[in-house]
Amino acid sequence: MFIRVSNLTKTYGEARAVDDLSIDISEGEMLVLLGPSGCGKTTTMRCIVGLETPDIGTIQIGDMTVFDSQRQISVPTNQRNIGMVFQSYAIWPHMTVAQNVAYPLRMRKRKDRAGLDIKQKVGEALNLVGLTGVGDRGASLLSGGQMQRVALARSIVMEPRVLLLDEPLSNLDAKLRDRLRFELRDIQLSLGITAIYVTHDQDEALALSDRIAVMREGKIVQLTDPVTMYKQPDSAFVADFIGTSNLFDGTVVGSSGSDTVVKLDDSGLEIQTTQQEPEGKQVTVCIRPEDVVIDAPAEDRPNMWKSAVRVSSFLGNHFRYSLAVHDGPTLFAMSHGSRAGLQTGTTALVHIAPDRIQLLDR
Amino acid sequence: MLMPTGTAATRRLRRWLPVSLLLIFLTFLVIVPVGMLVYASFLDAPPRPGSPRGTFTLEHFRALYTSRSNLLAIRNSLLIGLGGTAMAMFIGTLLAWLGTRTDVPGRSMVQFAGIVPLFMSSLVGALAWSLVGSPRAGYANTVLEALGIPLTVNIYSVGGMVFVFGLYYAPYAYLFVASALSLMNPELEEAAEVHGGSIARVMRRITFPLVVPATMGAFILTFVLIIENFPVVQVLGSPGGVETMPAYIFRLMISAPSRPNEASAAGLLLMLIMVVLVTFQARLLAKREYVTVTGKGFRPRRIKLGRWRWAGFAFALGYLVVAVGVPFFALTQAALRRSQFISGIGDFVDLSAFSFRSITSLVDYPPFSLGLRNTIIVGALTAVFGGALHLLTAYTVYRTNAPGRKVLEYVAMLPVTVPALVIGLGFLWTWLNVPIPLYGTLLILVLAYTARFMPQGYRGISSTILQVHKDLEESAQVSGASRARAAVTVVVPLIRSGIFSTMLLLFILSMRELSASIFLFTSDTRVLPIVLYDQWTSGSYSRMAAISLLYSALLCVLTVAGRKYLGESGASAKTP
Repeated sequence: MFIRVSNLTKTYGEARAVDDLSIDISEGEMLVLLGPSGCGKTTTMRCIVGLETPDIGTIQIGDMTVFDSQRQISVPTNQRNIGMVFQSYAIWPHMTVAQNVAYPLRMRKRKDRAGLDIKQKVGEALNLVGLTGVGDRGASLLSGGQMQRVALARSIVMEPRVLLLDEPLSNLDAKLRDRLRFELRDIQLSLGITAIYVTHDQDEALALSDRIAVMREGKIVQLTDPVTMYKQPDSAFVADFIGTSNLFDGTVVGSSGSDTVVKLDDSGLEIQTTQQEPEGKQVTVCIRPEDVVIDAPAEDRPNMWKSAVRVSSFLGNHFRYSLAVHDGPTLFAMSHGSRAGLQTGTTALVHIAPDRIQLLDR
Repeated sequence: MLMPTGTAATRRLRRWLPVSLLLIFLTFLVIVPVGMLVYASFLDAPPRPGSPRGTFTLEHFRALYTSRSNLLAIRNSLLIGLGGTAMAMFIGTLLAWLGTRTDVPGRSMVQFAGIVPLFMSSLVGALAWSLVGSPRAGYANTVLEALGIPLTVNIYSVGGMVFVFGLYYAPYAYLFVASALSLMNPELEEAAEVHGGSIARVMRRITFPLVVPATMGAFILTFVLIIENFPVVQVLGSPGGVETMPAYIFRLMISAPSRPNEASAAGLLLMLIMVVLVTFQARLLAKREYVTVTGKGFRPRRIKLGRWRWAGFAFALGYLVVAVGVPFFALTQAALRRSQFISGIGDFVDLSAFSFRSITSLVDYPPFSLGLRNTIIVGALTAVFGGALHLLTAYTVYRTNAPGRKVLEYVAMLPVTVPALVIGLGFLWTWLNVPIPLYGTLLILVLAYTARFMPQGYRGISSTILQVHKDLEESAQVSGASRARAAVTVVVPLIRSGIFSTMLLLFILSMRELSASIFLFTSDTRVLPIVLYDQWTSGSYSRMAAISLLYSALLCVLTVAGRKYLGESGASAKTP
């Protein structure tokens, strides 16, 4: 393991911001810490870089223990050799772009700096982030996207062992965010650098990561690759956070053939699923929008309902619908392809295959 | 690589040491003097070497309660405080509204009128108005007599002091209300207009209610500043026998035999009144932030005044003439006249009666050159010492997690509630008893001024530090800079101009200060305001006016330089 965080705990007064958290990260991996605000993701990151001092725990990076509460080891931030991109970018307004990027190199000890061509290194870093030739510009005159690139150049110029990114794209507009997300991943992969990325945006998490750790109240609730995270969330919390919009509370009432039957608490609608659960168990039913089949042929099948199309919204390569099931809940559905979709106000027959319905513990 | 950080004991020491040192320092500047004052007010003999050892007594407080002159002084303080505040609020609020929210002609002149009297020392203002409004020989009365108007202006009265305070404290109201009005999100008003409010109703129902907390805050601040003011009430009150609390405290100290313990008790009483008011003001201001401050600068909406435009202009111009023009006319007259006697209105323009002698002769007047030298030394030392102290304190409070840092801030802000005279008295009692020969040196004035202006200096520097986003410093540390190096390469360059402007503010405030030094000066350590005050008590009006003019010119130059810095600090300390 390249980074090993064990039993990390950080409290602020009574509040436990990080609660006995342990995580291993391999070399070259991009790990995303995902969670709502106040879940401890930023605190975890700040403990790793040394801007916060944990109460308990150990943090190891490579063969160096940077923090160990028992052995009273705490390597100062400036000696940890970790790069970081701040949410506000933290570009120093009194320096030029080149001075900003050169700063980490100038802070090196004299003997480590000997023979270093700072100008060339800065040029390389600026090239890498697509900012060739703006080195002489004053840093306070840059646009948001440019500042983000300067911040990235500054954090990789020092050839850090780890790169930390604290919601680096959250201050940018949607279009630029999509593009920079791609570039960021490209640079990380080409440098082969280990990275930890903090965000509360699930799209960003899914698109960027090798693995995602979803956090809640200072703990990791699920840690896995993006595809598994999306397909098999462990809990209603994770499913909700990762963007599944159809989550209904229900109770297992019996079985029909090999299927389990769940009755929804609010509407009384009965749903069949292949997942086996004991009768009487309280569950959360999880249905992904793309698993809702719209305008199914009228054969008699389980989980087939008449529903009214309340809203139909065209998004270019797909439609999104809000469908009110008769005597049932409102479902969000998605249909790909640009063929003519359903009209708002019409009625449609919807169907969900029982093996696509997942029951989660409440 | 392992980096042990020393034993638990040394780590604890490193955590506590900076805060402890700062706290000891601030304690000696603020808490010990106030403590000595409280101590003196409960003793029957002054706490100074050579006096008999005092015993505990409540006699002074009983005396305060029964003394007719004390009760009269409290009454006068309240009357003058309320009257002066009301007038200052009226002028300041009106100018603020005209300058930020209307299409008044000459808007920059209006904004200039709003703040310029702030940079005139209230001592000079009072001296000038005593020349204008003295009931016997005041210039105003000469003019009235010449015009055959059977009226006598008497500035040596409660009304006269209300008038002078109203003129020179209006800028505080102006600053508070103008900033509230220009920070207010115009969408709040636009929303009301969109939803059917007329301009008059939007102003009445939206704009004014939103600035009420700021206005109330300004009201209390102004009131507190007026009731603790000593120079104005001493100059304008004592000739007519109208005494306020600071003047009463001063008289107790200089009367023969002096009653220092009773003066201390009276000082304590004045301080308690201020504590109550300032606490109340802090509550109000905490609410204000929640209501209107959006943090962004907006282009404010401007109301069309129509035919009232020129009335607004005339009001601002009239205020400038009365607050600045008239006093300078009077000072110039007094300084340049060969004889102070004026037989009629024609004498004001009789050029043959003028000479520059009183100004040129200042060169050969040793108290002036000594006072000027002392003032500049004390001002510069206060600026350097205060600047360094406040920088260390503010950095510790806002940029470290040192234990006890909130206490530091509390102590730094404490002098807001301590009257300047009380600081002077407290320093007197303290340094007469501490076996360090500080009394009688310029250094004791530097320390007293540092204590007196600690809230202004600390607030100035801490707000500059707060403008620099913490990320900027942390990213320097992440980039490999040590804590100290990050502070030197990133924080200090970003706040440099803010620190300079605060130091300049401390310099200017120190140059104007009379109240804190009146009990602490000796013949070798007289500063300009003391020299000026001496001219007035000895009746050397011509020399007094000449010194006032030079002194004001000096303050004016410094202020102009200061505004240049203030402008720059706003631009460079912004964060992305």
